[in-house]
Amino acid sequence: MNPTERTLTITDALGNIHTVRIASAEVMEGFGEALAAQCKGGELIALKGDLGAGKTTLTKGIARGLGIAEDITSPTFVLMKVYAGNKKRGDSAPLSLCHIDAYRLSTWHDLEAIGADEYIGHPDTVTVIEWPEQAGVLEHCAPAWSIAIV
Amino acid sequence: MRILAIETSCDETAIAVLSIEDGIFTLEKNLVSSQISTHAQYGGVVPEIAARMHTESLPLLLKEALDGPRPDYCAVTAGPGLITSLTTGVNAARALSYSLGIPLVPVNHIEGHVASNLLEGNAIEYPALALIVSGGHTELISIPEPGHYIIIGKTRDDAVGEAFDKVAKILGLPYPGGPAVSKCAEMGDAKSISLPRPMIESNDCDFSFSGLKTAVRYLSEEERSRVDDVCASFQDACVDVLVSKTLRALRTTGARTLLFGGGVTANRALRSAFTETMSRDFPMIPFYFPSLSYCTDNAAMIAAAAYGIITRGAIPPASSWKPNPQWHIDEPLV
Ligand SMILES: Nc1ncnc2c1ncn2[C@@H]1O[C@H](COP(=O)(O)OP(=O)(O)OP(=O)(O)O)[C@@H](O)[C@H]1O
Ligand SMILES: [Mg+2]
Repeated sequence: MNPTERTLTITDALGNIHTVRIASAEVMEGFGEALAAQCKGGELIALKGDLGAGKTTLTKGIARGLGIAEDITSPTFVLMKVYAGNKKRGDSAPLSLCHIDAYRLSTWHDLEAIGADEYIGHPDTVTVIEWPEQAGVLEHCAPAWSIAIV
Repeated sequence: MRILAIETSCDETAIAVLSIEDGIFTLEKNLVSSQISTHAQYGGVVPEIAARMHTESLPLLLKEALDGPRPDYCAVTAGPGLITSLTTGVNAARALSYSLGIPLVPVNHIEGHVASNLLEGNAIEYPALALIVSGGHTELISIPEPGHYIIIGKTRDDAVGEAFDKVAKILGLPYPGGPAVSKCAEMGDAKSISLPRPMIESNDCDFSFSGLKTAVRYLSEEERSRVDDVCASFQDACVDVLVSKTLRALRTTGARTLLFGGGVTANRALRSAFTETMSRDFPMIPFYFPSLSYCTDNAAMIAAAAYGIITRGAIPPASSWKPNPQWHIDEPLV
């Protein structure tokens, strides 16, 4: 098995499913960038996949696509990181990125406890959440895209 | 001068009382109420539980800490860390500072780790360099003079302690992963499984550890079943990169003292690799590892850092700041 190959199964808000094959970490970031280009604000992107599947790597690409220059580092320890957007995209205001890692959480209530519900769905923010199944995210909100990485 | 310090940035509730006379530190109280056994059930820190545990532990520890002469200052960790945990500590500190009528000193948790080296009276010559490695941090910090910090290297993805925790999880070892991995590593052969040294050749002082976690995950089943060998080889890869980047930083900054801090500094393989390399390549540069009890989160180090802030006259107005979960050591707190 080639350790850099990944398959993404993408479910959109309407329930349409399609799959994408990704050959490397660079291609994964490029895919994230393209995804960000489709965001208008308020989107929730749920990223599923085992430890080391590439969820944070994909998020790095999303950040780049939003024009965020800061390094995106793993949010596992602090649970949530917010990055201010800084690029004018068309006439709209820049979009911020809220990057959540629910790996260490166990309920939706935990997400509320860290104030994540204030960002999810906010029109100026794109929210990416790793390990959504750990915090019952999918029972509480409908992601614009739910992406499983294997 | 007497400083009472509160540290609740993650899963330890800690309070210390440090008195300083003529520059000599006397640690009068150093209380830690560890929450790790509670969190172990969940394989990590659950923020709601963490905040609740801090709320339960703080009054008990405070009662003991205040049983003595009145402090002149109250110090508290204001970031980085878990927002709910930080807020619990800061609220307690604000209340204490108000009710005792003493100034409140917000301290950066990483500055605390650097200051843990002051607690044992080590003579630090500037410019100094600090390597801070823990579950949430992997940073090389240049310190041209006391109180002046420049981050010259950091992880681009996972912290090194986080990589230990995640590799432990992949291998089915218990939480917290750091001690579990290094214990297995002692029985394994560090050269038996080939793992990458991410970014070791890059022309900077940055780190990357996410690739190591993924490399362990993609080992063949046969290799992965040799848990001791995997742990030894993984630990060896981490230590190699940490040593190599720290030496690069020593050369580029011309540092005259090397300091360590953070929970991963308790790792024996890391200590012996640095001890060997420093005495061979930089015999003139003193280096200090904090005692084991000051490597992990504690409040004594927060008090020591606060002492520096107080003597530099750098206490910000109490109304100008709030806890910041992403506070970088080289930025002011707002
Ligand atoms: N095709 C790929 N897509 C994404 N990452 C890849 C790919 N090939 C190799 N990698 C490497 O795998 C690692 C993925 O780690 P990353 O931290 O992004 O995973 P994660 O899913 O966020 O893990 P965690 O569950 O620990 O948060 C990175 O080091 C990345 O460079
Ligand atoms: Mg991740």
